[in-house]
Amino acid sequence: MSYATRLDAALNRRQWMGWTAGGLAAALLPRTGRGAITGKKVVVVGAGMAGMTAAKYLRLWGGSGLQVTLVEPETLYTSNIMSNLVLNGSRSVGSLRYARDTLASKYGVQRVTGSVAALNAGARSVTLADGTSLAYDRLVLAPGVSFDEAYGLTQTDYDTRTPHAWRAGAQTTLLRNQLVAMRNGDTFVMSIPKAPYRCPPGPYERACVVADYLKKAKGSNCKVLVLDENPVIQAERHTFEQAFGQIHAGVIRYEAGVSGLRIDAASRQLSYLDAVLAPHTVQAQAVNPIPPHRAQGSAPGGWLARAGLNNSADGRWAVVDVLSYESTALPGSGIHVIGDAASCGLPKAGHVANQEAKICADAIVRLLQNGQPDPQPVANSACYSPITASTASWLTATYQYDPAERKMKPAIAGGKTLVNGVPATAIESATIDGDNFKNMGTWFRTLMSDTLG
Amino acid sequence: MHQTTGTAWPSPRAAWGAALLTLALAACGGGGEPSLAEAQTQEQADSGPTETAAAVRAVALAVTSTPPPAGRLLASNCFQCHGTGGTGGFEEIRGKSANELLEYQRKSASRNIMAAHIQGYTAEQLQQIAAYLK
Repeated sequence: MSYATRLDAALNRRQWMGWTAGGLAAALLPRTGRGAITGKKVVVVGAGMAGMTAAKYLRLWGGSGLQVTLVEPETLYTSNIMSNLVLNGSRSVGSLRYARDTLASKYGVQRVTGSVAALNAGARSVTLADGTSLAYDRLVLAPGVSFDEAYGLTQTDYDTRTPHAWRAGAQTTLLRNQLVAMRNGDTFVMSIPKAPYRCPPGPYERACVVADYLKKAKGSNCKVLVLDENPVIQAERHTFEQAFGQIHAGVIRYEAGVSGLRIDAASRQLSYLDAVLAPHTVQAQAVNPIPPHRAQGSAPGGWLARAGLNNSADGRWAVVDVLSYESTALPGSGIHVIGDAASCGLPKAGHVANQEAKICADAIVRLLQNGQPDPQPVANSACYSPITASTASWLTATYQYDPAERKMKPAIAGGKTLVNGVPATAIESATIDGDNFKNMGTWFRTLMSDTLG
Repeated sequence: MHQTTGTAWPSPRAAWGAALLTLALAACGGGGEPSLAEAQTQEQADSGPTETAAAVRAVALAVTSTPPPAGRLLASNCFQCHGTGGTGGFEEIRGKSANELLEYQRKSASRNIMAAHIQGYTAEQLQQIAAYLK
């Protein structure tokens, strides 16, 4: 007997007893409550921050008449958030791993181990790599990102020699081991791709954590070279200018506007052009390239691409209607895309993905009840960044829906997206301190609990 | 390995009570449900899906109405830091008044993450959140 069948059987029996005991006529109380969803199926593909939250909240808000199936190849979730703290030895990758059992035991989410091979949008079904197929009324895609083979490197190089460690796991441990093997005077080089990239783990926070570790463990002659393809620091500019220029001065060298990066994985030699196109070569002892990302499956021939969902101008992301997260490539198809794979104007971050998932789940529940999505959704972002092994900063933003442009925009001053004609922006902490570091732990634990607990 | 810090699951009696209250209200045609009936569906993280727990959970999960209560989606913005249902994390926010929330808008944004965060909400939205979290 499937879990859902058992649950329904238990419900029917207990419900009658319960309502009778409660003195209410069972006949007046439909099995799934007034106006509730019955006999509908949602398939959620990908059990990262977005997918897990979507599955949980679909059941929480959609009720037991909404069957939710979560498709994911990996048994455990490994958190990207906090994974930079593996690099300085204060956390292990194991401490970032989470079972997803509670989604099934508490919320009745059905889990399928597998990965998507093809979407059949017309037939409203998903074919998995093992050949099985899952039918849906609504499909939520939360596949996350994949990483380009860039700068002359291959996926094997990332796995064995020059780890990006941008997806927490074995590469994070490899990078940690390379840092441990460094000696005083050695050089660590990391590169940052043009935005948008997934964050956390944050690139600038990584530079800080690595610099802090090398200074303390190896000596003050170590160098951390940060090669940023972006023209300026992309987040918490005040914080990271202070961190690079003061806290980690003499160790971190930050170069913005870098191009033409080439890396030789065997020799760990690299070359690049600086912002004024002057060429440089560097011999490093550890190289950490963060490659450009794209939605998983969006590369030519990939399952997302074959379904035509990667409709951003660069073909890397799935553009969505931010009221429902339904794909704008296939409107009316019942296909929603959330999290890092979506292009929705919000940062690619686990905390944000959690809220995108809630907006999407709420919209799906409304749509399945023949309603319309909330016309004025609000999303939010909060993020703590370690700057040393014991201090941190934070960044936060609230996003309001602008119906004129149909976009989510940062808001301040009581929900305003424009203040004196200037668009609102995220707010960063004034200080880098130990209280923030402590609060970072509370934030992380609570976010994970809201996502999968 | 499993690290979630589950909030305490109210007794089956409490959950049944919430479910009954919810349905009773829904049946009155008010279109509303007790704001946090869903959050009552938490169970002890270490307990398996026993039949009773499953039945209680299923009934509580089943309690939905059309349209969803005002403030439900808005309030879920708080749960990443204050726990599902607003009952944990940095500070329990369940039962806070809109005025308590608005007070944060007067604090220094760059020195208090909540003050910074809450700037992005309108007063009306904060009232809806507070009403939902009552």
